[in-house]
Amino acid sequence: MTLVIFFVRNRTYPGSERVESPQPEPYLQPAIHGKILYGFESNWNGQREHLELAGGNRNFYFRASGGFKGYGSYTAGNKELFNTSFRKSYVTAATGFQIKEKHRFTLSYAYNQGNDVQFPALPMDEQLDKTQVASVNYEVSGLGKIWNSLQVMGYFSSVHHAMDNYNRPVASIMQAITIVDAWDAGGKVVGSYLAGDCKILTGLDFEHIYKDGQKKMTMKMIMSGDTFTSVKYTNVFNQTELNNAGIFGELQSRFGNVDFTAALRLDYNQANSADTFYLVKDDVAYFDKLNSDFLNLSFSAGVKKRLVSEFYLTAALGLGTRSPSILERFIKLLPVQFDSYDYLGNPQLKPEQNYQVDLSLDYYLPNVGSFTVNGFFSLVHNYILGKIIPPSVLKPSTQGVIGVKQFSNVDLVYLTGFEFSYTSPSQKRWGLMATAAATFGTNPDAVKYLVSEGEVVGEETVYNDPLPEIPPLEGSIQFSYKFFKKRLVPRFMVRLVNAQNRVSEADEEEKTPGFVTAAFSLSYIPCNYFTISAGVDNILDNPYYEHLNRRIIGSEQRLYEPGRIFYINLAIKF
Amino acid sequence: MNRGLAFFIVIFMFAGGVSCNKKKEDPPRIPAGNVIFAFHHLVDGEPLHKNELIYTNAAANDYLITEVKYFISDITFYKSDGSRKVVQDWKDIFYIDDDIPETKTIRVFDQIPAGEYDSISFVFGISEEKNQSFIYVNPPEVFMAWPTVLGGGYHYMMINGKWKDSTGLTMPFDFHMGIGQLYKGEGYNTDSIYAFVQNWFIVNLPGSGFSLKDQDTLSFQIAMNIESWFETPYIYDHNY
Repeated sequence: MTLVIFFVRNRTYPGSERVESPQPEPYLQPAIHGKILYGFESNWNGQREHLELAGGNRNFYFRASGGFKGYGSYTAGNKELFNTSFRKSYVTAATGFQIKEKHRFTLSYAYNQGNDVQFPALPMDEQLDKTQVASVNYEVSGLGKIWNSLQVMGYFSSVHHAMDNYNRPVASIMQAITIVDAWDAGGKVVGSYLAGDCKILTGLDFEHIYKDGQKKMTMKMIMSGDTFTSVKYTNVFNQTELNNAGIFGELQSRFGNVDFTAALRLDYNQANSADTFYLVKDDVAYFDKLNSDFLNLSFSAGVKKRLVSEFYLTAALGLGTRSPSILERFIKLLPVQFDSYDYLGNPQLKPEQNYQVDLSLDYYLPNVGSFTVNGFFSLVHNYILGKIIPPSVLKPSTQGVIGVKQFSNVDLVYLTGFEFSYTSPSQKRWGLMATAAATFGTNPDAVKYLVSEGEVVGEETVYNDPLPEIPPLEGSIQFSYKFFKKRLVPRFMVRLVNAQNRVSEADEEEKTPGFVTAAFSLSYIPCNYFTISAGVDNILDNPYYEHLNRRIIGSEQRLYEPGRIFYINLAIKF
Repeated sequence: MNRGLAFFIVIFMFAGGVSCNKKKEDPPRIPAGNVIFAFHHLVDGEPLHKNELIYTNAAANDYLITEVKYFISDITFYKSDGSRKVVQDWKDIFYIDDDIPETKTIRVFDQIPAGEYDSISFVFGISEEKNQSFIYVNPPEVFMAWPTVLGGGYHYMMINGKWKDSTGLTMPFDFHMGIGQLYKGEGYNTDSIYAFVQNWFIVNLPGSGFSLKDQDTLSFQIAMNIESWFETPYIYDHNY
């Protein structure tokens, strides 16, 4: 289920929280259906098993599933073996009731457990992850001439997460385990109604997040033949809470051949923590006042105009305000970003304000296909970015990391970018999809630390420094052809990723070479109950890594993606 | 200086500047310069030769040195007008290891205000307030950890080596310094520890007055006379 009310590109803004849970659908006639799926992938010995049952009638319906996914170590295109592991099992259950015509009530639950997940780029592995999501939803549609629909929804999710370094060589020096428990609960009420030629969507939503977690570090030392054990407990989150309540509205109207949409959202955001950690040095407050609350305004307005034939122009502008997350406010010394630093939260962060303009052109011809080109430009005030803090103020607590960064507000940054896509008409036997996208970010005044022989010896300002961790220009092409009334479909895909040479000098971000990968798949449906698909990813066995792939913490080594993978999937449906 | 440690200092001065990528006006800067410390380890006035049984201490023990590593912290510059500047803008604790050449040079991040200075001092080891367990989790500093039950934090110093005992056998020694313990009764059972002793101390470098001009870089050569650890203020005999 999706709670998308207000969306601004690039970053997650309020209301764009996504909670996935299975949704059952009613059946006109009593029915029961099932799906059994098995998949295998070479290279990392991947296994996927999935079993699903769904059924019911118009008034009562259900859906339940369960499965397992497991992957092991893989060999990259450069023939290097990366020790990884990933084992997840899951169950879901959902049931729906049609209380009366057009009134639907749904209950759903999902449980997901991960064990022994090995992260090659991190100094620790996931020992256990238990995630539960439950939701309740009531929807009514077609209420009358004015009120159109009403939705009342609530959800709850909990996560128990344990990470340790017990299987790492560094554990011989020091063992560490971090256990975090998190809860997220919320809900929304949304109604839509018609006022003249206008359609209005309005509602309220609320979200409560709680996180609490602790790191235990154990060090064994041998002195004069005696073994001593030192233990330290630190909080990574200490009973931290975040509450967000929002009220929103959206207006859709039409003036002549122009569609007009305007949205407004007001959020009250509040956070606090029971932290006893306090960090003030030389009159600089790094971590002290724990409570913060904000009243955030977000709005957007856009028009869509048909220029000629099936050629549309869409323009929109808006302000999206994003409060700092609970992690950005309160995390204490964990490597939670893509670089090799421990991160410290900042309880006094200000919300990001993103002023953005979008322009989009859409063109559709039934026999040619649809084209979309769009571009955006945004100015972000109080952009949240990690800033190095000196080791005299705080030292890292994770083995292998090189320092501590604290989430801080950068006064102003700007981003710009574009997307292009083409999709061939679905009625054609041949199919072609092509996409391209790029984003460029700039920090007008970035601070760079000067390093000489491993020592930080000074600092300087880098003007117009590219923002770190921005993916490069990327494009993809996919070609397919439907044989035998779509029963046999070969598909060929190419992904082209440009080198990322526009990297942050201040962050000493490394450039990444470009790469091309190719994949081929074949799906065959011999009968309505059986589907078989097989293929190969990274056909050329190219060695490559994404720009956002972590460098392996504690080394200069980059984390390569898997080399060539053959796979096969078998599915039975009834 | 009365803890058996002898330091001497030589000052060199280089004219220098800090590179800068300026494109617009920066705020007015305070006249300041840079400071570099280079550490040397000597025995009997000569550079240390490790793993060679060529030294004899004041107790007539023949000995060799395999490792020398220690912390210094809170480097302080005292100005003639009574003010002082503590090195802490980037790092305040420095690890020096004879086996890791880059640790033997400290390029001070802090901009030191220009002017006349009377002297320089530093803490040998780490002060009680800063010497907390688990502040270092990565090598090489993590190998200096000091058990919590013995006071926690980190060794101030490790000098490891070997000596020829009274029977002629070559035996290892670990000459370590850290937080001390006071024990109730006899013996050294950790359950009988009732107090800890902070053994860090301040080293005032002799003859360390200097003059620093705007944008100058001064280089200080600091030597540790290792044999002094075994004779000042008391003669230390490895056989007892």
